[in-house]
Amino acid sequence: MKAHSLTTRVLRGTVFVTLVTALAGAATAALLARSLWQAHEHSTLLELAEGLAQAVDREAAEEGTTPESAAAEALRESVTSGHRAEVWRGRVLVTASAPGPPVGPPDGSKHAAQDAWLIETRPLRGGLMLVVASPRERGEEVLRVFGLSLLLSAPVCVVLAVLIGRLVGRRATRPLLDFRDRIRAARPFDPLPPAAPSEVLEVVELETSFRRLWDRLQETVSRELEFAANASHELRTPLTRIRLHAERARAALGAAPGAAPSQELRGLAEEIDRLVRLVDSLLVLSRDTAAGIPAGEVVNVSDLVTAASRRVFAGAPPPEIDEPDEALVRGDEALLGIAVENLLDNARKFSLPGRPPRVAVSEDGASVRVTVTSPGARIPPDVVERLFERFYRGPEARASHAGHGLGLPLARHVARLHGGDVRTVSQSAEDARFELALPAWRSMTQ
Amino acid sequence: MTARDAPCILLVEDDAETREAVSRVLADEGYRVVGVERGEAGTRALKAGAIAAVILDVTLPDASGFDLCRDWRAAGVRVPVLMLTARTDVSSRVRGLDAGADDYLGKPFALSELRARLRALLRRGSDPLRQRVLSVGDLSIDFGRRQAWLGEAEIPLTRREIDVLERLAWARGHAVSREDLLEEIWGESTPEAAASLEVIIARLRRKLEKGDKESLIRTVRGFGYALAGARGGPTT
Repeated sequence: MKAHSLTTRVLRGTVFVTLVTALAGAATAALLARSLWQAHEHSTLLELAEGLAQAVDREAAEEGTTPESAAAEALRESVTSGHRAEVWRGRVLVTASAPGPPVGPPDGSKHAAQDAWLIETRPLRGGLMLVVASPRERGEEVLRVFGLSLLLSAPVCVVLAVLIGRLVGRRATRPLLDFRDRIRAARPFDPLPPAAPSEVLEVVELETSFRRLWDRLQETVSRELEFAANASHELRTPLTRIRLHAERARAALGAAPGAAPSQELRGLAEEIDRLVRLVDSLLVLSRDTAAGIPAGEVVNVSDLVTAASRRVFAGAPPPEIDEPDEALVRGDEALLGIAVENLLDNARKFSLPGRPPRVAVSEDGASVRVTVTSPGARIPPDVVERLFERFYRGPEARASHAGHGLGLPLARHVARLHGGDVRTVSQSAEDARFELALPAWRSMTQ
Repeated sequence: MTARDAPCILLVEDDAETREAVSRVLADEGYRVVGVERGEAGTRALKAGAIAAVILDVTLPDASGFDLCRDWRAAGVRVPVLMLTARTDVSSRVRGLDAGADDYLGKPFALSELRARLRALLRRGSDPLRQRVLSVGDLSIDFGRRQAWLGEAEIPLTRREIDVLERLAWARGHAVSREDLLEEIWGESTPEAAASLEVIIARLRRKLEKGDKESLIRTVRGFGYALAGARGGPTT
């Protein structure tokens, strides 16, 4: 369903209501005008009939003529154009004004010509019957003129409705938009900007609920991060102890006559280093990327790649490395080392046997890129983004390799802490290739 | 093995096992070790005198190592201090150095590195007049913030490069042997570390020596390197 803005909805409602009101108003006003005209016309006809009747009486009394000739005389003198008058006795005797078929007879028997007329009858002396009529057409014209003029005013009403609707809509949504603007820039771990006083009850309530939810969310997230940070800090102390014990044991064994440095102790030291790195990873992941790296030092990414590849590929065929002597970035050397090491470790695990991974470092002034290619490894498209989820391990990784599913998420997190990113840049049909991009070193004084 | 005239190390560390293990290792090296758990006891031991160097953990039950170190310096204590901490980023380092510590080691550390740092610390001692900024001609280096300038331009120097320069600067114009540099900065004198030192010296020369100026880093054939023009030590 497509979402529309509140203003649009208010606008639509206003226009609809205005249109309906205008149409209904036009119809009602037109009908009312016709009824009023009819009532007015009836009384006019009655007055006319009364006047004619008196005129006939007067004529007959003064001139002493027959009622028929008196009526003919009175009609000729008194009936104005636009009205019709007839005198009947069984049949039409006299007609005045407006030629056409007679509108009588007055006995009520209907015929077609009557429909077009508004008719009044009045008895005259001598058994004569007076019929006065006014054409209905004039009433219809009043109806048309009224209705049309009101209809023509509808567009004006609609334009007014749009203007008013927009104004009202904007006024009504302004507090909401303000609220949206205030929370739009909010990032996790930032306190929300202070609430602006709003006079709209719904907005106040909405903001209150939102703030409550936000606070709860912040609390949960920061508790989790705090837990990770605390846990890794707490783990350091026993790890320091274990490492010291192992080193002492190794030294003691080395000093004993005839004892060779034990394979087990070397393995133990390696495992301890692995644990230390895992603990470091938890600590790194508990940092918020928005915070960035507070005070970066100069780091040569080429050196990091050389050192990491020596550690990662110890005892294995080394990767092909193509790098300049220096590729400088600003950041935390230990963290960047972790990121590079994880990318190389990934490449080592997933390259086909006999095909060494390729690592390329490049610098173009704006950014430093480390591209790591694992020949023979294919990444199914549906897995690509999941690879960057914490603790996700692809089917291949689960089947054959040790790991925690933290390598790529960690590398990406470190890159983002530095304002860069880690992406996969290969198609599914090619060798798996990941790229670490970091902003190149720039003098802070520039 | 512990002679009466052996240097006495004060170890302030709240974790008993770590304290124990480090104490034993240092005792094996021939040091006398006074291990205490709390900052307060550390201050008392310092006042009792005859302490050659302090290894100070940053997180203690009764005080922060930073505050403790600052208090000692304020009270006129000149004993070199090596700080141990879980955090090794630049801001913690600057904080530690601001508090008056002489060196900084992240946990968990390798014993070989601790031994090498302690040896270096005992050899050069704590220099109350030591400035954190070295200036030679146009060049100025802030060792605390690890930043370098040549005139107005910032020169990108990596941590290792600054470390080597700092170590050379401390020698005040005297030569420092390759072995000492490798031990104290790399923690090992393997062929890889030696090759790495050569590369870093070459990079430093390229970045810091412009045109036909006299060489800043002097090679002492068969021995090591010395920082020219830095006689009298790093000052402002």
